[in-house]
Amino acid sequence: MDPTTVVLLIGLAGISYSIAMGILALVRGGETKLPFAWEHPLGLFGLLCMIAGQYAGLFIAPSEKFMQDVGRILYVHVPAAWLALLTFTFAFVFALGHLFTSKRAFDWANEAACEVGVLMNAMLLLLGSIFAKPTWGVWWTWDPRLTSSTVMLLTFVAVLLLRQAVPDPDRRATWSSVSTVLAFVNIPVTYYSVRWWRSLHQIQSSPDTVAETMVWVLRLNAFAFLFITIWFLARRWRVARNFALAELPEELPPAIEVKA
Amino acid sequence: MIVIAQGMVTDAWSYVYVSYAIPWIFFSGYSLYLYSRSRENS
Repeated sequence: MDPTTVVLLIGLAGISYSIAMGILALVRGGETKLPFAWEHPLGLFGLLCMIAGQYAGLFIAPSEKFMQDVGRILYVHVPAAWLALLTFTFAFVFALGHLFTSKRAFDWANEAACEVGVLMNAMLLLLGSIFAKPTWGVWWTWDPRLTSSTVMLLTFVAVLLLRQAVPDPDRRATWSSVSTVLAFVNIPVTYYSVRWWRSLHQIQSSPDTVAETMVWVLRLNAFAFLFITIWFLARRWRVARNFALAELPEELPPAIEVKA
Repeated sequence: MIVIAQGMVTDAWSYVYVSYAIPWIFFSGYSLYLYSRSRENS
């Protein structure tokens, strides 16, 4: 079996498992009704994929034609970019979910997605800076893609700060949902910035423009980042839920009938 | 692109190794943070 097929099967297995657990949670009436912490096997799978993906990126993938060995950075830089955009898109969906249904579970998911997205975004900018130095000759430049990515990071950090500043849980949930929707406006701008303003950063590649020997390595690393991100989201959701439940006021004692 | 590649520094592998270490640092650091947060209200 060729590596491309193996990697696609790996991706299919991890994504199918995640979707199956999601459906099972819905059927059983809540994520807490699942018999075990479903995210741990996926996180372990992601870790193994990351070890294999990094090995492939360092020792199996060919050198890039123009950037030579420095081009190997794309196997960690590009998945970080994809996962930052994807996680912020999740946050947007969760924010809309809360605004339409007022369910607290969506707010906890939004909190998790914003925080994990900030982590991926910060890593993306750091990796991009290290990639830029040997290829562009500078650590940083105010290129439209770099600038919009920085704005993306700052806006979602602002959402997290806003959450910290609002003590009332209901108001905090509504305000952070609205601010997440506003922050999401920049996501398409970031994605299309390389096409709208042709500058130093290259435009998106596709499997048609990249050698097959590089595509499967990139996909393997992307699946590794995806599974680890889902593990982070699930763990962070549990933390948010526990804190929210601890915030709830204690139940009142049962009423006592007073006879006149 | 060719001009950029010609100007590339020779110690390319040091940039590559640092880049590959960064996800491990970020992921392990965030895992530790999640572990400590989960113990606060478990």
